[in-house]
Amino acid sequence: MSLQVESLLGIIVFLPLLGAVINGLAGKKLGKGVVTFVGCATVGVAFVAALFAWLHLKSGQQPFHWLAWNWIDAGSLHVNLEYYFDHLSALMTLVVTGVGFLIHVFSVGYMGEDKSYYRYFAYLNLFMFSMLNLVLGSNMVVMFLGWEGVGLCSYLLIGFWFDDDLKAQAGQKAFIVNRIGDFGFLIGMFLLLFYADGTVDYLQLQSLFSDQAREVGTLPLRDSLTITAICLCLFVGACGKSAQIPLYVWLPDAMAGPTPVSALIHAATMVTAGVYMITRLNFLFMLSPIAMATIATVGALTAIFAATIGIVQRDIKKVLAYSTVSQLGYMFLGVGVGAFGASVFHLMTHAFFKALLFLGSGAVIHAMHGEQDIFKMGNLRKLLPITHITFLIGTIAIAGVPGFAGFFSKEAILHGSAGLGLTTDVALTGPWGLSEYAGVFAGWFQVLTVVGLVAALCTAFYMFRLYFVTFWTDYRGDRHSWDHPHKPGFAMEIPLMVLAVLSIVGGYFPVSDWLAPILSRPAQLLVENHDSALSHMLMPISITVACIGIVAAWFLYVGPGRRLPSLFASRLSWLHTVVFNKYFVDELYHGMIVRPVQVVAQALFLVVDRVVIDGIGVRGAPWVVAMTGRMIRFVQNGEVQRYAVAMVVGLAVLVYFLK
Amino acid sequence: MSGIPLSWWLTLGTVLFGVGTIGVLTRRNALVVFMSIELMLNAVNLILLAFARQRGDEHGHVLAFFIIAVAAAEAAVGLAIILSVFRHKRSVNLDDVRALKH
Amino acid sequence: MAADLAHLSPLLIVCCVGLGILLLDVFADPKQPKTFIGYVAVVGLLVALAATGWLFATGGVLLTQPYFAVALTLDPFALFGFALILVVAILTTLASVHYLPSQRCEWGEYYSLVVFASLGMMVMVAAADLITMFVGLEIMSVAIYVLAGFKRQSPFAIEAAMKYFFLGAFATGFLLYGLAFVYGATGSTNLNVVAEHFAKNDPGLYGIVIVIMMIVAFGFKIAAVPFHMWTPDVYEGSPSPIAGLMAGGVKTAAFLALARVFLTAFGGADFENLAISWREVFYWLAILTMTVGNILAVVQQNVKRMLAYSSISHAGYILIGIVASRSVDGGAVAGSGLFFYLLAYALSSVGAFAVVSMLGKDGEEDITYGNLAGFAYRHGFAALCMVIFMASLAGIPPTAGFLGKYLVFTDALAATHMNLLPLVLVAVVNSMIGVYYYLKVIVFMYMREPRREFETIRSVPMGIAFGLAALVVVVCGSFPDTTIRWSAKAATGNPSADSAISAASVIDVPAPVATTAK
Repeated sequence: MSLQVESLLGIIVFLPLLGAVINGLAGKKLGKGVVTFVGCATVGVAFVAALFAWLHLKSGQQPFHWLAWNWIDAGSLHVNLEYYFDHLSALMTLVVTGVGFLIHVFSVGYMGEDKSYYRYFAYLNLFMFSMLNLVLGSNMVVMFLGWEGVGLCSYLLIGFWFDDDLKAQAGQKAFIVNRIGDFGFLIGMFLLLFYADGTVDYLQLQSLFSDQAREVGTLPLRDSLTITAICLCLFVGACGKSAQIPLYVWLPDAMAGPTPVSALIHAATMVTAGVYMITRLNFLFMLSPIAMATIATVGALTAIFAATIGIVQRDIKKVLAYSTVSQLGYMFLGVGVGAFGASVFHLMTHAFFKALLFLGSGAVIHAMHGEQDIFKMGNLRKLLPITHITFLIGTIAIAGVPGFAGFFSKEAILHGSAGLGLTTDVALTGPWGLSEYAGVFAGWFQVLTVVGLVAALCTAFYMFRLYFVTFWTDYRGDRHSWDHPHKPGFAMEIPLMVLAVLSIVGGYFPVSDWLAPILSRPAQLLVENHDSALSHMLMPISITVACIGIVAAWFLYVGPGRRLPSLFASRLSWLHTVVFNKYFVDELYHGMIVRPVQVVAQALFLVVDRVVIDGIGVRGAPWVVAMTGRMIRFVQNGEVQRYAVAMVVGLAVLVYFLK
Repeated sequence: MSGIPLSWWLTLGTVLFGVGTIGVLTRRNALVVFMSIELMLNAVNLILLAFARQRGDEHGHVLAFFIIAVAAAEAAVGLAIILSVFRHKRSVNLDDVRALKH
Repeated sequence: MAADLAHLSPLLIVCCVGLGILLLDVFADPKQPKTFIGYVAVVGLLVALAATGWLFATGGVLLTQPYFAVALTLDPFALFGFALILVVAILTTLASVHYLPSQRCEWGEYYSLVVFASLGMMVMVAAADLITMFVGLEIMSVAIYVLAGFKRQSPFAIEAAMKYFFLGAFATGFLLYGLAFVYGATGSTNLNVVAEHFAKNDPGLYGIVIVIMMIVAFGFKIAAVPFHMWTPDVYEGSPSPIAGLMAGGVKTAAFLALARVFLTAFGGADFENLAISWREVFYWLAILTMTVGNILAVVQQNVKRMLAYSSISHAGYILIGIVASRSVDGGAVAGSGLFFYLLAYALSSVGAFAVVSMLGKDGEEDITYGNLAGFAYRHGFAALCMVIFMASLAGIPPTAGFLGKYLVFTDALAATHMNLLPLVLVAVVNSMIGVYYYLKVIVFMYMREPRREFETIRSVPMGIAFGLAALVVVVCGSFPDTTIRWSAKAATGNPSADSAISAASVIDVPAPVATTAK
């Protein structure tokens, strides 16, 4: 029995690779039907296999390993291509293969007319393979393999329509920003490797950095500064992959890729790799309160920052992109306060509802002949009833309405944050005891919780703004699209319905309890000690906040707020022309509420996003390299004697230092 | 002759080597540069022979012969290359040969 | 005696092959294509490779005749180098057979020059004596000077040959100056005798002169900054397969010779006690080399120049392997990552240059990025191989290049004699920059529409050359156990270290004591 269970991991990981190879090498000749079958079936079977493996784990069996092959087995060096199925990787695998399968099915309809259909499926399958390596790998090297692999696939898929220059540039940008992140990740990894004496396996690392080791004093490294440095380096990597401040800029641009790709890679799976990585290494991060506080702060700031930008976007996919950045911020807030279970919980529910929203937006864009501006849509509930209902469910779920998935997970994160703030009597001591952590940063976590609540308000507002403007009000686009929409077929609607169901029931899965076994002892203690005044009041507050957001959106975009001007205009025509004309009321609302937010958001967007990060970070670093290169290369002027001079100068320097 | 201490020979060799080096760096005529390189090699020969004399064994002499032989082979190839340069450029000035750069 | 000759068979076979095909060319019909000479060379080199494999399997051999034993060491270290050099030479020859006619420079001596250059490299890595090493180096260099300018109707090729020649001869001058002082200080040029001498005596001022001069000379051959400036010009002007031979073969030989000389002869503790030990010099050279190489590679428009700068940056990574290596008992080299890296790097670059060789026709070459646009649609297989080489050079798994980096970096992190963590971090940052320009090649091949038709060479042997290289790169990256074991064997097995000393003392090596001049 156990043999069979272990080999399930092989099926899960390598079937998608097989699919990628078949489609990539022979896809052109195989024809569409076979490509579709190979592309979807491999992922589908992987999902079923993952279900079996999960059931096995759920029945109380131990986590298990599967050794694919002894990659390096020479002398003292052992690196295996090995996979490990425990509670965390089980959950991630289910999400990746499950959502991945639905998105594959959706793609059949969405990409049906593309000329590079087979190439698309080959890349998508390759992505699944890389992602599964990332989440299932039993050591850092396999994770790195997956980490680079998903980056590469993301790059390939963003620039999928490479004849379009702008889209190729978006791919480039994603690539460069991810490189910057990967600097951090790799440096962190090598530092860890250095101090852990070449250990790369998670389980061995966990015992090296365990709480017992800390108490006995056998930790591989003695000073908290180094541990903090390692954690922060790894976190920089996570920022790149998971689009956190300041490395989030690539994600909105990545929307240039096909919409199912945005759903799969840039919403549900790849961008959560950072959260997964930190959760996987929770034993390490728990040793550095400073790193944890930094993560929480960056997460909360990203959440609010991206949410405010989301308010002013017009492009349906851009709204969802900023929303993704913002939700990822929540997840980082969660891991930063030690609520690892809650974060992964949110990761899962977010995968459901954000994939749903992206696929829904894909259906809308498909129906509207590629139109992405929501102000050129409207009233689409008449055209696309199923898309409308499912999209509504997704919107409710993300807005945090009780009973839907997003509510529970977001609540769990905020609860973790608020609870940590007032916990001072955690019974832990030692050099980096948690009581210090909770004590020093107590007030700060309260602030972060409030920030999270405000971000929740924004989220509810802009998501319902998106929903109302797209599906209600009057149609404002061109007639042709309205008269001849591309109605979504079953291949597109069924994934939507399945995801809608998951967006409702996903919240009832006890993820935090499920994940308890993989957490280190300090992390578990932290979870058990959550309790504060704020956390008791949290639920009513966040429900209120969600309602305010929804009502405000309704009021401004479909409700009386919109009708008010025309009402005045008909009754008091003189006043209409003088004071209460439509624009004035608009101006009033906008001037009082929307405008300031917009201005601030726009300013932030322009200054931070375009100038600081885009200008200095994304273009700056390569620019510095290129400029330095251009300057140095003129030393190389082609004169053979100058080359000889360089050698003699080198010699002289050597003489100077060695004499 | 035998009374001249080793350090004098070494100094002379090093000075000759330096002269050769400076010649390589400063002269523009390919043939002169080539001669400067030969000067460097012969400076080394001088140093070797000085060491050999001081030690009273033949190793240094053998070494010097190796160097002379190899220098001859290099000279053959080097002069051929300079000739090719002249065929292309009608000049053996090194400043004229700088198409490959940056 | 007979056993020694059998053991020297790799060298003897290569020498005979070189002479044989030279004669073959003389008696061949001048109007017929010379392709068959290339094939004869390949067969001959394969025989030499088989002989090397046989010797490697036996774990290295001891030469019994004293006059061989003082000159050459056939330990696994050398045999690993032989195998690598022979493979590079075979791939170069295969890539050349149709390249030469297309460039209108098909003369038969090309092949014998390639074979002689390989012979020189092999002598270099097997040298137990600085004189042998010097002779090997010159056999190699003189052949390469000619090969660099082999397209003699092209002014660029002649310029490349001239630059390489002048600077190479210049560097030789420094090597000999250092060598003279080795002799002056120790009375011998045998590496083991030198090591023994320096183990007992303080190297002093002579030591400094020796180390400086050797670093300059080797720095030139391995193209370490600031001794690197010839590299891009020479690679650009030379025939592309020869650029591959230089990047893959010459550099391998130079690195192995450097490792042997420094770790054996100057590995003693006293050399660590100089104001700055040579390890520290290489430490800084490594940082400078990889950074400058990478930065300049980013701004290149010509793929051959880019590959040249990339080879410079790789020299920096390989230097990390040298710095991380430790002398064990003044003989063996510790750190198998160095060997694995050399293998990965040599095959990837020779393969990349073989692919680049396709981009020529009728005496012309166009090797700018623009000409790679849409390459994948016309030459799917070649483009796929190029992707593998670029991935390997960039250090992306599952290619050999990734493992090479991984092994070298872990060697460096495990080093106890120096803290190499900063060096590794710099290297990591650099390899990140490197990915940019390697990926640029892939982007141009796969994601750009072809701008205009540029004729390319379609050649089966060339395809075999880069196909084989790509296969080895992938296999070594995915199933590296055997290769790592070989590397470890090459790194630690040094059976002849002691015997060479005893053999050296059999014949008349004077005691390293200064006698007064007459």
